Amino acid sequence: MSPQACINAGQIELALRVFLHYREQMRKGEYLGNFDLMLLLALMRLGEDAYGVTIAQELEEQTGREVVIASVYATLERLQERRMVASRLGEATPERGGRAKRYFRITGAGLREVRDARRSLMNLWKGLPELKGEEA
Amino acid sequence: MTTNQPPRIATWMLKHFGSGLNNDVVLGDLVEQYRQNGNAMWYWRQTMKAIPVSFFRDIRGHKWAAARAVLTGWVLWILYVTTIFPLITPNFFGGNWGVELDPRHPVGTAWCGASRWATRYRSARGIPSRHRGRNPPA
Repeated sequence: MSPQACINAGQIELALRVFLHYREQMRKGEYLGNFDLMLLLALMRLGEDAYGVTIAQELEEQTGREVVIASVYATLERLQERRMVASRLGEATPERGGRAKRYFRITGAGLREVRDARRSLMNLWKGLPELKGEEA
Repeated sequence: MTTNQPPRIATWMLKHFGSGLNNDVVLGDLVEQYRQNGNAMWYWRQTMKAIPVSFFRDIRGHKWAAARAVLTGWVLWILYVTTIFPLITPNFFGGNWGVELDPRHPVGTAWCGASRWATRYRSARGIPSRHRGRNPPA
């Protein structure tokens, strides 16, 4: 193997670090996804009683679809990293097999994001004709 | 008939194969919901989906550690193929594997070695080859 073709581990490490850094920077300006927005709205509706079971039930009631509880936590953890959501560990109860609940609440940054998303969506809806059946 | 206890195997699987800080909290939620609906199929579905969700969530949360693990695995693999593999092969079949060890292609080398070993094993035991005509016994 020629020396030119040899890529050492240090170069690979540096390239990966640069890639992850830029990806992280791009993610900071990301729009809210559909599920993100639904979760934030569910947190607003539930208030103090927002934890895995109640959030999943709220989403199922409103959307008519089954929700994977693990996905709820995965998304909420991601939103927590973006400081849109805060959480605290609750009490352990016998009906949960002695396991604790994790309560979530929306933060000021989360509220701002929801308002921005609402405004953007409303602006987009304004220019559209009335929906009749399944045709626009 | 529904019991108060959720399916044990599903719980065990999520407990041992699930990962992340909230794994225990997710289990608690599933148990609580199961005691309300008593639906074992629902519980199985949720636990089987929770395992890959937590796995990919962990990788996403620890990208650098995951990349390092993959890199370490490859380094160990290459070391094995270039140093340990040639050392141990003389102990099997007199060292004549009929495979040219090429460290640049560790997967190909290992695959050729494994298939050659399987062919010799079958012929030594008198097991007919699955690829008649293409893989004559050595």
